[in-house]
Parts: sequence; C-alpha cells; structure tokens
Amino acid sequence: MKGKIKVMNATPEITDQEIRQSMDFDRILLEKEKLELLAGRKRVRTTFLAISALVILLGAFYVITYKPFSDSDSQNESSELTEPLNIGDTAHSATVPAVIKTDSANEISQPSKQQTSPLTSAKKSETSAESHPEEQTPENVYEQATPLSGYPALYEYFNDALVYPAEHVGDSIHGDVTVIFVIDVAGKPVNIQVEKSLGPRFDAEAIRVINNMPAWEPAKFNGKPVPSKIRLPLTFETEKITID
Amino acid sequence: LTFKSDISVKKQLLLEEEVIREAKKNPQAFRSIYEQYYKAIFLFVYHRVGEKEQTADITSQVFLKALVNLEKYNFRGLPFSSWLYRIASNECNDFFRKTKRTRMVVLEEFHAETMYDEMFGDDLREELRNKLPAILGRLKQNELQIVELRFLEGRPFKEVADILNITETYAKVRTYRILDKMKKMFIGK
Repeated sequence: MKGKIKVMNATPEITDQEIRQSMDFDRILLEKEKLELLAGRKRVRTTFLAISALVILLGAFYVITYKPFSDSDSQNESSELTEPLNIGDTAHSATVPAVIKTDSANEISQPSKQQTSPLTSAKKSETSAESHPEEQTPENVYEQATPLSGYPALYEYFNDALVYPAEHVGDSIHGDVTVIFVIDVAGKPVNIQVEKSLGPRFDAEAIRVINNMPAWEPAKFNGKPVPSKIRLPLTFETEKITID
Repeated sequence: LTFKSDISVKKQLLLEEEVIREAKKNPQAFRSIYEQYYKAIFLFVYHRVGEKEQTADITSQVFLKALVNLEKYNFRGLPFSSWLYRIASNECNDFFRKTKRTRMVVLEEFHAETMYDEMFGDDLREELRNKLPAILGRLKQNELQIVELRFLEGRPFKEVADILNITETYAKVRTYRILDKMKKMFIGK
C-alpha cells in the first residue's frame, strides 16, 4: 500500500441533497431478491449435477466390472473366489465376506457342469458389481479433523484474536508457541497443552485463543467421529520497523 | 439532563434491536435503518474514495451486504453502526485492491491534534505537519486504517476495535505500535 494515497487537508464538500440523491432502498431490496434467487438456482443446479455425476459414475463402474467377466472363463472365477476368502482371513468384518464366499462357491460349482452362457456371466457380473463396494468397506477410512470454516478462516481468526501480551511489548520477545490439543468428538478443543513455550503470559494467551476458536469437524474413522490430536504453532511477533 | 439523554440513547438502541429483529423476517423493515445510517456510511466511504458515483455504488453495496447477512449479526455488545462501518471498511479495501485507485485520506487539523500530542507534544509540530502526508503514505493498508479511524476520524478505541473486529486492548497496543513506527519514520528522514 505504499505511496498510493492522497492526503486532503479538509473534508471534501458534499451537500446533504447530493447524498440523498443516491439513496435507493428499493433497488437494494430488488438486488437482494435477485441474489437469493440466483443462490437458489445454483443450489438446484449443483444437486442436479451431483445426481448426474452419480449416475455416470455408476454406469462407468458397471461397464468396468462387466467387461472382464463377459469374456471370462472359469479361471477368472476361481481367482474371484480366493479374493473374498483372503479378506475373510484378515477378519476385518467377518460377516460380509462370508456371504460372498458362499455365493461364489455356489456359482463355481455350476460352471463345471454347464458351459458359461453369456446370460449367467452377465448375471455374475451383476453380483460382483454389488459385492465390490462391500469388499472395499473393510478398508479403514480415516478423515482428519478440520476447522468447520476452513483453515484460512481459522488463521484469520488467530491473526485477529491473538494479542501480544501488553506487559512484554517492550521486551521484543517473538517466536512460536506450539500448542497441542485434542479435538473431541463434538469438535471442541480439550486437553490443551503447551509444547513449546515463550513464557507464561504467551502460553496463557495461546491457550485462551485455542479455547475460543471456532468449532472443528472432528476426525472420523470409518465415518464415526473420533477424538484426534492437533499440533499448532502460534506466532507472536511485534511489528517490524523498517526505515528505508 | 445527562440522565435524561442516557435514557433516550438506551431507548434508541432497544428500538434498533427490535427493528433489526423484524428486518430479519421482513426486509422492508430495514428501510428505517437504511435511512438512519445512509449519510454516515456514505461519508465514511466518500472520505476514502473521494468520488461521488463510486461512493454511491459502494454504499449501496454495503447496505446490500448488511441486509443479506443480517442473520449473522447479533447483539453482543457490537453496535449496529460499527457493524456497518466494518462492512464499509472491507468494501473500501476491496475497491482499492481491485481498482488500484488512489486512496484518499482526510487530514483535518482539528482531529490530528491528538495524534501530534501523542507523538511529540508541541515542539516539532510544524515539521511533523509537513511530513505527515509522506509518512501516512508509507504505512501499510491496515496501519493507515487504524490511524485514520482513531485519530483522523476521532473514534474511541472501543469503536475502532468493534469496526476492525479486534479487542479494545489490542486496538490500543496496535495504535501505539504504529505511532512508534511513525515516529521512527519521522526521525529517520
């Protein structure tokens, strides 16, 4: 922002009448309605997009899983059989693979007697399309905790809220206070500890700011909220004075 | 007499609270607020932007944003006027960032007195007066903003803090830090 200002020594003149001329509350009401209409339309559009994307994805998934089995022979089928068995061994979730196992065992007994007709293989690909997502669920999914309003907003909050302790203004202490805390299942910080300290006043300020920060989305394990540990450095610095 | 005026101020606030609550349901109710604050916000913007048409645009944008985001405003010690000034201040910053226009600063002797006193007392006043425009020009955007709100517009720290969405203590700490910086600039050149 250097340079680009113009200092005026008196308030620029403008009459009340001139100010009143530009008043137009009805236009603001109109624009508000327009904005809301636009926002509503956007919402409809995005849901429509989401639905069509889902349909396309499902279609693609069907095609991909269909192909290998449509020109498959018994070799493929036997390999399919071993897969669920393996998963059953690791025992992530015992019930789902067991069902698959019996299903495919029934099917594998048939091809020995009758040749695979296109009809049965198509049917098989259907069942495999169903079973695939189930095979993937036992893989554990972990989602990290994130601030509800996003990290940039959180940092902005820190920038605004973090107050350099007034008692130390003259001491030119600066650096990071590293804070460790747990985001509990409700998205609130608990068990706040200072890992790297700058002194009691700084630590207290850091803890105050963490305590008052906006809520988080808790970490999730397989979709279930779980507590998670977060480490954050908070920077205290006095204004750097540069004289050029 | 002061007692009397105190009551009327309270009454006004109460009324305002009611009007805003009503406006959350029915935007038409916002009209009285618009009429009450239009001039103040217009001048606030005008003193920074310096051009009538742009100012009118930005001012109506401020009220539009206030109306659209009215749900987010709640009475927790923040006067509605400060909230409007906050939006106006952000809109002005956006305007200067996008258009790269020259930002105006109104420096009226009457208001700047406090700042001269804070900086050097009487001795160097004349010299400071001459150099001040250059020094203000070297401040960062957010530093200029706080000096302007506090000294050039003579707002109390509480209001400065409300507008900038920071604590009052921090507003003070920052203000004196910036004054120090300005002093050093003054001595340096």
